[in-house]
Amino acid sequence: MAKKVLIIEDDTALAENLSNTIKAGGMEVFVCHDGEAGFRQAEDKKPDLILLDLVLPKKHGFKVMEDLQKNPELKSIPVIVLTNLESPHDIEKASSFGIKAYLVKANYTLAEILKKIKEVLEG
Amino acid sequence: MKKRGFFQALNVVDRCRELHVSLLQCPHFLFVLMGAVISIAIITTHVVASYYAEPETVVSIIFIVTVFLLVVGNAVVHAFEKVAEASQLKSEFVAIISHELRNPLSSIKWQLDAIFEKAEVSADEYKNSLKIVNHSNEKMISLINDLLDVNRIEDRKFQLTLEIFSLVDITNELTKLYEPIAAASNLKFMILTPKSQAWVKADKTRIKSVVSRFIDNAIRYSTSSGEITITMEDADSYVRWTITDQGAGIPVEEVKSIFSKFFRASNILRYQTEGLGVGLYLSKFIIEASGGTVGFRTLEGHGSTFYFTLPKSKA
Repeated sequence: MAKKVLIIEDDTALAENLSNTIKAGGMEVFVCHDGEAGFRQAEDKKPDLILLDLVLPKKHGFKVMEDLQKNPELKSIPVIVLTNLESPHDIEKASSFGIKAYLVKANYTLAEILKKIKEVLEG
Repeated sequence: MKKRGFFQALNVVDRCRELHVSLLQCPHFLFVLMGAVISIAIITTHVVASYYAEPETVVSIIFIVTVFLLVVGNAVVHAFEKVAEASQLKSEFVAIISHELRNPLSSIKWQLDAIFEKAEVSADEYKNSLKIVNHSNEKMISLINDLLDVNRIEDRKFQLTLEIFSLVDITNELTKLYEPIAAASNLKFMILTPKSQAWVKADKTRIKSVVSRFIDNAIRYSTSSGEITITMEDADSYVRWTITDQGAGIPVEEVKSIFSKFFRASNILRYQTEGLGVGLYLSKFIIEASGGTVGFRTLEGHGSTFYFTLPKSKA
C-alpha cells in the first residue's frame, strides 16, 4: 500500500509543488493549509509522515506538534519540519518534539525533500 | 569603521551621532558619564574629608555622595539595558525579514525546480508557473519598499508625490485584483460608493498601498466566509474610506499597539500570518502626512472596521 504523507503548508503554491513531487514519488498525499485543519486531518487519516510548516494560520506548527504528542495514536507519526524560520530558538524548540528533520525550505530542492521523506519512511 | 585621531576619538557626541543613537543610548557617552560621576565623587569626598574635621559630618556627606553615585549608576545601567534591548530587537527583526524574504524565494526556487524536473511542460503550465514567480517577485518588491519607507520615516526623508486621483477608481481597481483571493476564502466584497468619484490630492502610489493593506488585512483576518464592506463617503472637506470585516477582531490588550512599528515582531507566534508588521504603521504615517486621519473600531470575535480620511480635491 502506498504510504500516506500529510502536508501542512499555508502557501498554496508551495503546497502544490510539494504535493506533486511526493505524488510522483509514489505516495498518497493530503494537503492542509492551516494548523487546525492539519491536526484534524492527522486524526482522520493517520498518515505515515507529516510535513509541517511552522508559521501557520489558526494553529502554529509548535502547537500542532504539542497536540500530536498528547494523542497516543498520533505521537509516533514521524514529523519533518519544513520552514523558513532558522533561529536557534526555533530549531531547539522543534527538536524538543522529537522531529525527524528540520529543513529550511529555501535551502532544499524538491528532489532533496523527497529523498529525505523516503529516508524517514524507510527508517 | 573609520580610523580617527586620538582627539577625535574623545569627541563622544560626534561618535554617537555617527551611530545614529541618542546620547542616553550611546555606550561611548554612557562610559564617559559614568567616569565623570565617579571622578567627581572621589574629588568631593577628598575635599569634604580635608575640609571638615568631625567624622560624623564626613560620614554623612560621603553617604549622600554614595547614594547619588548609586542613583546615577543605576540610570546608566538602565540605559545600557536599553542598548542591549535595541540590539535584541534588531536580531529578531533580521530573523523576521529573512523569513519573509525566504518565503517568496522558496516559491520561485520550487516553481523553477518543478519545471526543470518535468520532461514536457505545456504552455499553460509555463504560464501558471510564471504567474506564481511573478507574484512572489511582487511580494519581495513590496517588502523592500516597505522597509525603505520605514527607514525614510526614521531618517525624516519621507516625501510624498502629490497628484489628484479618484479614490473610487483605485478602490475598484484593487478590489478587482483581490477578488480571486477573497473568493478562495468564500469572501465577497460589497462596495458602497458616493455619487462623486471621491477626488483627493495625495500620493497615489502610497494611497494605493494603504488601500491594498487594509483590503489584505480584512481578508487575512476574516473567518472563512462572509462579506467585506468598503464604503466611501464624500463629506464637505474630506473623503472618508471605510472597510469592515466580519473577522476575528483585535484582542483588547493589543488595541493600543496596533499602529506601532513592528507590531507583529513580538506577536509573531500569535498572529501566525505573514508580513513584517509595519503595514499599519506605514499606513498611519502616510495618511497623516497627507493631511488625513486614520482609526478603527473592533470587537473581538465580531470583526473590525478601519477607516481613513483624506482632504477632498476638485477633479
